[in-house]
Amino acid sequence: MYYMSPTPARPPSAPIPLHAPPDWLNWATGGAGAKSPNVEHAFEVRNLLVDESVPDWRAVNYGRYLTGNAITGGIDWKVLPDAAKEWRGRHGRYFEERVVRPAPAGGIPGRIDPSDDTVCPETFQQLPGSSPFLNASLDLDLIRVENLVQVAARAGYLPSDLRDLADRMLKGDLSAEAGLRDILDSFSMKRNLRPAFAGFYLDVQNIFSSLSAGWADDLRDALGLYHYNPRPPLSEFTVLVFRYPVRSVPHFISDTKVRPLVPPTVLDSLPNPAFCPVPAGSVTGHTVHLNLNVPPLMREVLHPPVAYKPSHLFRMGVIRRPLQVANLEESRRWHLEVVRDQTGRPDFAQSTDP
Amino acid sequence: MLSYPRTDELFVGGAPPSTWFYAFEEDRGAAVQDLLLGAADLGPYQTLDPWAVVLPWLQAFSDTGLSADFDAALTEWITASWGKPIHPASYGSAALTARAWESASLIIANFDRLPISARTLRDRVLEDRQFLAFMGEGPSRDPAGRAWQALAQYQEDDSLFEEWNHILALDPGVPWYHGQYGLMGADLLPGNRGGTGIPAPLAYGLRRFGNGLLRLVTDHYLNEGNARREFERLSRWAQKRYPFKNAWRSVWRQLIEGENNPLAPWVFESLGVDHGAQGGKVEGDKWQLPRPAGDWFNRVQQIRPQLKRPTRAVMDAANTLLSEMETYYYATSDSYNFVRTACNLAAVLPDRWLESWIPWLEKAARFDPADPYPATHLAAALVKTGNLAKAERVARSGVYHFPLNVFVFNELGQVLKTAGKLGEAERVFCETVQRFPNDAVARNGLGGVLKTAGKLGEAESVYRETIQRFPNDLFARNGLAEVLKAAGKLTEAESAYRETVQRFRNDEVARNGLAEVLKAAGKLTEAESVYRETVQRFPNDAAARNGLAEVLRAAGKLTEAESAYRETVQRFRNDEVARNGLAEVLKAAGKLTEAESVYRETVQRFPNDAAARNGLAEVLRAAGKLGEAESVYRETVHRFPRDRYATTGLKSIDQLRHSPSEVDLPDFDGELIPDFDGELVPDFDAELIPDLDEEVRPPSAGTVGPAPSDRDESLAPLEMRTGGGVDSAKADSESAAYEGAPEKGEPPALGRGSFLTRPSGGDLRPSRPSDFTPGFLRASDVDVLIQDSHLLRKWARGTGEEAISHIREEARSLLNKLERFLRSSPAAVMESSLLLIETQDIQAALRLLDEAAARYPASKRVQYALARTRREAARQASQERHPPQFDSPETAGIARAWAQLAHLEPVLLPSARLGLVRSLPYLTDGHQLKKAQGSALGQLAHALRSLQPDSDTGNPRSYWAYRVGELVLGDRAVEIRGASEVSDDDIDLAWRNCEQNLLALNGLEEDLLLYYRVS
Repeated sequence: MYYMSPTPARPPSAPIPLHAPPDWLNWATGGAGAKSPNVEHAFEVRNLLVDESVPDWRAVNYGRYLTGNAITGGIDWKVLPDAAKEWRGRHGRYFEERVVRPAPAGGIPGRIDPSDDTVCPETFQQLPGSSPFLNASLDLDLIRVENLVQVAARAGYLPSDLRDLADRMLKGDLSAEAGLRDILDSFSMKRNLRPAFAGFYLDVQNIFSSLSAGWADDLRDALGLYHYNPRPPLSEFTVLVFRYPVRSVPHFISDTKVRPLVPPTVLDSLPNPAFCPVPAGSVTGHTVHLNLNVPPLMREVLHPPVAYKPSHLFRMGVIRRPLQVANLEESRRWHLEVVRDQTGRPDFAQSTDP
Repeated sequence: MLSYPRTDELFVGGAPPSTWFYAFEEDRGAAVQDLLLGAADLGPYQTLDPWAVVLPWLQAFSDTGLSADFDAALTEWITASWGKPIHPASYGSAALTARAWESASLIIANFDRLPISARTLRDRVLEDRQFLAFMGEGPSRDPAGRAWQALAQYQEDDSLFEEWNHILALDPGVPWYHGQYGLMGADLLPGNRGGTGIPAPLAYGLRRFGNGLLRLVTDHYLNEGNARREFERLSRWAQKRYPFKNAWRSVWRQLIEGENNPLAPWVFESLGVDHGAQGGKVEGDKWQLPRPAGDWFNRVQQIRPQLKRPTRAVMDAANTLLSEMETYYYATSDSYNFVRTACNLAAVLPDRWLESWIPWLEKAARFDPADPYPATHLAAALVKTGNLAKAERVARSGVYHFPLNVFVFNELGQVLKTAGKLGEAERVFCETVQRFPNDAVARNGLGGVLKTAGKLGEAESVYRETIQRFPNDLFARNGLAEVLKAAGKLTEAESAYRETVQRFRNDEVARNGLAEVLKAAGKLTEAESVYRETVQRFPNDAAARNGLAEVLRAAGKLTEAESAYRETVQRFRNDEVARNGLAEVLKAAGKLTEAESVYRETVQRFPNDAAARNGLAEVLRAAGKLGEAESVYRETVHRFPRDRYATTGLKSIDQLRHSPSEVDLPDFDGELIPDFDGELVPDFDAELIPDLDEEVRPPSAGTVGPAPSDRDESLAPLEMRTGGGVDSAKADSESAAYEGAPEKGEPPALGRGSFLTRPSGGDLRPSRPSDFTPGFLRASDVDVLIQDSHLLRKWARGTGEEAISHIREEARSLLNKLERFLRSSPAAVMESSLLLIETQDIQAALRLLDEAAARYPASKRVQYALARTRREAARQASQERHPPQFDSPETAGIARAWAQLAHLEPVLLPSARLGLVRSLPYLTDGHQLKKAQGSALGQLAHALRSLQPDSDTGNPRSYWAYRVGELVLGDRAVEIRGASEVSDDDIDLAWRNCEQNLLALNGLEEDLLLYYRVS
């Protein structure tokens, strides 16, 4: 299998616990953290405890955010009235300051300089040459899902305008192209440079081949997009599916043929209950399938955001099937079983998800 | 108490999607804060932005009262959080704070039931525009832009009209990517609601925005492709809002006149039509935009000369014209006609009529705050009307906001001089001469101040140098002669005047000066002859007439002198000099009663004429009316405590009475002489004026005859001034303002209103002139402090050690005052740190900035101050013979700081390049350093060349590049295009030049920040 790697002689340890303050670790491993009855919250914390793919230097940085500093003062995790809130806030600060980089005024740049931390997220800094997707074929297609309402709101347009243009474009009406391009340009200009999660089209193409009524729900499940969860008062999400070749991704400043595609870690997004790390040495991340449909595991990569073009718009659909927490719990359990099996790491995440 | 149902009632039969609903039920304020700052438990939606999570909930529950409670909580949050660059609940993060503000604004912008939050946000933004602006880091982290977007959606009246105009004009300080928000605002003005079709403010706003983008492209600030894309995008956005294809074509046919309009290709591309559509018939268009009245140009032409000696009717006509133009401005956002006319007419109004015109000038400054022209006119008018304090405020603000405009500098110098602040005026003019070496006005201003301060030798030297540079500068020649005369060098003065008269045969000032010198030299007959010739040539020259009378009096020809004065008084009823002269002659002739009567009338007309008051007291004393004389002296002393004549006169009365007691000066208890009543002044008698088109000089004030230098170059109507590219540019554009505008036909009657068609648009009413403060003058305490500090630092340059010591003292005082703003204003931080550098406390500046950098990570001002302070630290270390190593971590910080400045605000790239070039020489070690220096210098040279350097001050950015090139690279500036052309000699030359011009370059570095009004 393409995602296998040799089993390490000694199980590696996750670096974040090594660099986090002991009090925080105490909280994180306890009943208010990884063992919390609030499953979504618990999964978010567990991910920090078990992610072996976080580079050591990033774990050190993250640890500092959990420690406090001279300006904000130190943190005594033992006495905090709401440590979960404190952690979410501090994780958010780390994410906003180290991963979310504001885009230049001209919008998403076409190239990325990993040594320039003013525009390059930590995600793409200090990448080892052996990082598995750096040499991915430029012609491979990636798939990413966007919320139509959010795209329109960020771009400063009415959702109805975007829906209409997208619909016409997908029906082959080329007169919609200029209008759609305007909205996508505006969206690209106003979105920041946080890394974009994407899947490989090859992994999900079956979903599109039948185009059953529930294809959008199926795609959401396959890609583990738990936040598209139409729980009351919401009944649905309209989504745009973008399909674009790897070559559309901004390239490294030093090599125009190399695109910064990397497996995601727990530090590359805000707390995500549907994310699940992989054992060290895995060549790719995997989405947690939200409908227990395993194997095969879906590959998941991160890349700098792409400035969408109208030609990237692939589908528009509506997600209507709500997800329950129980789904998530079960999905994660199944997911880990498969990952342990396929990577030969039965010990992986046993401390949090036995 | 929550007004919406409890969470369990909202989600009957099921659970809420997130526990946040329970948190909101329990403590709505805390829940909203946690949501915005990313600390809330959002369940499945934890990875989303706060606005993206809450908007669908608000929309889904919009009929439950949830929105009202959310509105209240958000209002509380805005109120409590405003002014805190690092929110107390943001875990010490400025970035998280910025995101929270952006989210708050996006929520308001995208949900229409948060009126209280919107109003609160609006009040805060208008009160302090900088707070959100300095958090911005481009369009993707843009709390200020999103706030404008929110305010656009919630307009209850048209009071934001001018805000949208400034945004769409891309005035300094407005990021180009705010254009969309400006258009939203112009589109959603409540005034548009009654109309049908395309709102005029939207159409004009789009054109304004396009022109703003074109200007940025010309300035090399914005790539043409990006600019064009943005314009076309927004043009299509507007077309989508108002999908009337033909109407848009019609609109643009009217808005774009001329085949060569550079906006045309962008417009027609966005319309999806070819350029042929441009040539359509305007009159055939069904949809007509409001247009300027065709008779405006003629009316300006007609009113202007008459305003030199106005009547009520002429003033009414002028006011009517301005009102029409104001109506047009409010209908279209096109301020050009209004601003030009307000300034144009102000330039000719006699001083005593200016008071009523000032509100128009204030509006002009408000309508076009990016243009120094109306602000300069306003300051000049305030000086003429005696409102020196306000004039100084306007002029100071002008210098701060238009640092590359020589006009505003000269105006400030003039205001200070008029206010008697000669030391400050001298420093301002010195600074101006240094910044704009090719400006004759600044040099003459300096000469004038030095002369007034009694520094005759220095003044002479300045004037001589000016004449050498500008041989045809009349003001310099007269100034020199005047100084020579004041220094008692009468022969030289006579010679200088004679040469001037020969060169400029129609210059009254030189003629009067010559006569004055002849008189002073005792050559009374010659003087009389010159004066008589001048009076003959220029019958309306009051100075010549008074001079003639003065000579006659000096020659003992009292009857002739009296007659000459009487004629002058009759012609120029408000000429104080003639009145005082007449009274003086009468007194000399022993006609004390008549003299008293003339003096009394003069004092009544001109309560601030100390000479008339002293004259009156003298006459009274001579007539033995000691009590009355004492009373007049006392009041004069009370009004003019520094008037020596009055003090001496009062003492003399005392002595006359043999009183041993001290004179009690402050406690005036005499009867007040009534102030001047304008209504008592008879209307102007037109018959007395032979030629209305002849420019009439404002009456000169003084007591001892008309001094030629009273005609000050800086006080001349602005369009008449010489020197400085801006002056001529303004004059040109002023005349161009009406080119092609008038249509031939029946000449309009004065005061007749013109018809303005307003097929759509709002019901905006033009207001009459009011006491409305122009936008750029809405200075808060901190703004004023910062301006003071900035000017103090500027004036410190090149002054002596004693002055420096005094300035440092003042700097320390300002530092104390600024301290309380450090936690809320990055501008205060920058100013404080630069003051600390000025006081040699670089370490304190670094400490301040290190802390501020975390607080204001997106502030360009803080970033600049940080980079500059690091350079200063390296310079200090270098001077102490331990220069930092080029490759050390601390020096990497210097280069990074300059690079970050350009990253935060690309328009500051030239400043950042200059900063780096000036930093590297303080480092040490090796080959790599030399290479870096060559590269930095090449990049600077490239940046300067791309700005098309020009010694003309007409384009400030271009002039900036010229000055920097001249100061850093000298003659090589025109030769070097990039790093490959930089030699070792160039590096050494640049280093020497940078050291030599240290202070000037510091100023230039800062100028771009101020010019672009970065946050």
